[in-house]
Amino acid sequence: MRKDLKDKIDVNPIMAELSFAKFEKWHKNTLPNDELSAKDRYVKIGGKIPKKKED
Amino acid sequence: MDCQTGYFSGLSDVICKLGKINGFMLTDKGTTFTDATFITESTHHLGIASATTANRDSMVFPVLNYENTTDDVTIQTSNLNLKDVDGKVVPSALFYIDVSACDYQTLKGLEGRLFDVVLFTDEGKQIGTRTSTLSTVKGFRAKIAFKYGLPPSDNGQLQYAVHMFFRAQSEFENVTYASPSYSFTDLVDFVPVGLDVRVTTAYVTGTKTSVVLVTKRSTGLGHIGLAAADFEILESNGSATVVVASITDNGLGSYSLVINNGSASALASGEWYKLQVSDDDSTYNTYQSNVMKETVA
Repeated sequence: MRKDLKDKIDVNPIMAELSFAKFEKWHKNTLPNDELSAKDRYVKIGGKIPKKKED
Repeated sequence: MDCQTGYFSGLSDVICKLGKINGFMLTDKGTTFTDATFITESTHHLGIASATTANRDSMVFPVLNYENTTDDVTIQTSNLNLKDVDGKVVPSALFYIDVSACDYQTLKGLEGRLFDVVLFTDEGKQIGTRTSTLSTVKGFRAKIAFKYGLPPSDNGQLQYAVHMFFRAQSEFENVTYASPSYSFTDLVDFVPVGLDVRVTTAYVTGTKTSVVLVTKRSTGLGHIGLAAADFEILESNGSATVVVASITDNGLGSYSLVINNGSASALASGEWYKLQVSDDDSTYNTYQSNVMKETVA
């Protein structure tokens, strides 16, 4: 599997099995220099962010 | 000796030679084929190079030279000068394989394991043994061992020796010959290109990071473009499932790996993991590394 060579960081799609809250915490602690936000990285590896409930 | 009634069974009109062994395929113990899949090229392609680790059950090795090391059968002579054969000998061989020094080094992990070995000859024959179910074919059960020491001074072809000790003489009584449409070199072409992986900065618990260097076997050229999922944890004594969660490509084949123990924890001191790196085209591995073990200090 070849990743985009421009992208220095690559996250294993298995991490999308975490809830977004847990992923966000892991991303903040582990990849502080990531150019992508936790949200964008989560979506990139196939994670789905739950929609906020509308009042 | 089989105490059975023997029957004559005719002779073939076509006399073909078996040829000399020019390669062998190690398959995991218990790997069986049907008569059709035994000579199906794609079956062996998946066995050799499937991108799914669990489906990789075979490896082929070209042979440069070999010695038949099978012991002579014991012939007993009675005091009346009557001769009989005592027992049956189990075949063995010493193969000299056509690999590089770095390839040979990676084979150590195979020592002592039992394999089912399919043999290939320069006359295009593929040789296995028929199992008791008759509808399936397998390789000959064997254990392998290697030689460690200085390179021979006289013949460079004899550098990389593989002892093959077959385990069952009866499998050679039920030998089956096939004539596939592919050649042995076609199977060798399926073998992924070798990569070497080693740790350059040991695992740091605080950042959950190890730095590894991935290079092409023999040339040492850095292998770039790997994705996180290409770094597979094969085994670990970690308290939870250990995964390579993310990588940072440092260039020239250097990668910083974030290795999680469970969903987000770090490996603890004394915990270890075994890692293999591969690169694939979704179906088949095109590159595959040695297996590297790191124990957290």
